[in-house]
Amino acid sequence: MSTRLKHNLIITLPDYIGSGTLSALQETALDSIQRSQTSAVIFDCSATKLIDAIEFEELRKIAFMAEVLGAFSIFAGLRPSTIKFLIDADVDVTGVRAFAGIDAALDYLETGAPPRAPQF
Amino acid sequence: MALSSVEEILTKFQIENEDLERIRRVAPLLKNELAQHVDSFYVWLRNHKEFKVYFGSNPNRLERVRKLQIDHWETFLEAQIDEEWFESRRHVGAVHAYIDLPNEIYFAGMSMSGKSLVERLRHHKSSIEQAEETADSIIKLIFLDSYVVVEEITRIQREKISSSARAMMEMSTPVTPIWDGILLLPLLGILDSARTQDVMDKTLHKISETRAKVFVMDISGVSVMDTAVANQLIKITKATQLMGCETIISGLSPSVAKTLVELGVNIGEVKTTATLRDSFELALRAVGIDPAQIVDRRRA
Repeated sequence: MSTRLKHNLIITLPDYIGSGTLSALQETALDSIQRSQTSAVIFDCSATKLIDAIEFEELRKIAFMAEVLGAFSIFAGLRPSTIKFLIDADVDVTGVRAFAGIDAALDYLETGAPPRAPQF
Repeated sequence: MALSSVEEILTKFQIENEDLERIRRVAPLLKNELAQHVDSFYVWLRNHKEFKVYFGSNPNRLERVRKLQIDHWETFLEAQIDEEWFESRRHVGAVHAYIDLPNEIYFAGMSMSGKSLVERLRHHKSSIEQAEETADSIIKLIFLDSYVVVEEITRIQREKISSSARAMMEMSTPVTPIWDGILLLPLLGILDSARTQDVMDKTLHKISETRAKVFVMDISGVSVMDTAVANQLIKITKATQLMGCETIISGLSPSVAKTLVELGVNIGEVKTTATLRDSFELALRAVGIDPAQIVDRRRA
């Protein structure tokens, strides 16, 4: 599910990431950036109960693709239990920009974001 | 405890129905002498310091415990080994754990009581069939009785230890907000993987709760720093990054810095400072506050 807020695209991840979810999500994010002016893509993970290492790596790749198209990529609302799981699985978090919730991510975009997104 | 477990434990202690039958047969005879049996126990106990510790200033307690002991030996001689019997012995264990009775005096007391019962039995040897076998049966049941009591004491002690460890763990990770958006965790002592997990849990929940932007982890009190500990700390910084919170590690001593470099630990982009003051300054700047302004405000 995706929502547009000014020039930002918010993609809400479902409770459970099923097969095909990530490819659909990639299509939505990249098409949207290409079609209309998009400053940032926020992946809202607050409803997602668990993201495994492979799914996280896929999400990181999509975030990287969005950055290549010139949009900020932000992960918001990752649950403490998910983070613990991912860190234990030794995932690569280099270049990942994350916030505790959507509000913090939007605050950052409004006030603190540098003019150009740093590269992954 | 299920009936099968009762049977299982009796088998382990090699207590057969025959043993219990023998004890029941001599029960009427020995029950008549229980008052003297318990008195002889107290004569023995008076020679030990524990008598003064537990009964010295309280004669009423002595009388109460003496009565309970007579009841205890009555049920022992009735030899009805069922769940109720086990429960009564566990209760004795719980009381002993509560008063912190040393195992030494408990075992010595049970040994003395066993000897006293067997001597009384031998005194009536001529009127009892299978007196020696009955003495063996009594000793076997005394072992089981002592085991159940001590097992309960041990269980309660284990529970106390694990609850103390839990309390210690709670106290050892005080993640505290020290400014809007800044959390501080002073770490002391040894940092093992269980504690690191706890630090990570508490920190992530606190960040989620307070929406902190900076997390200062002061490790000046960490006694041992090696590759494993360093990697655990780096894991915590990665985890907080996924919540949008930057970690600054403060309190790195020259020897820790030397160790990390010599061990080839790659601290990557983790921000580190030698002092907590430096970390606090960085943290304030990260949340958009100029530390100089705070000093000026204080002076004003």
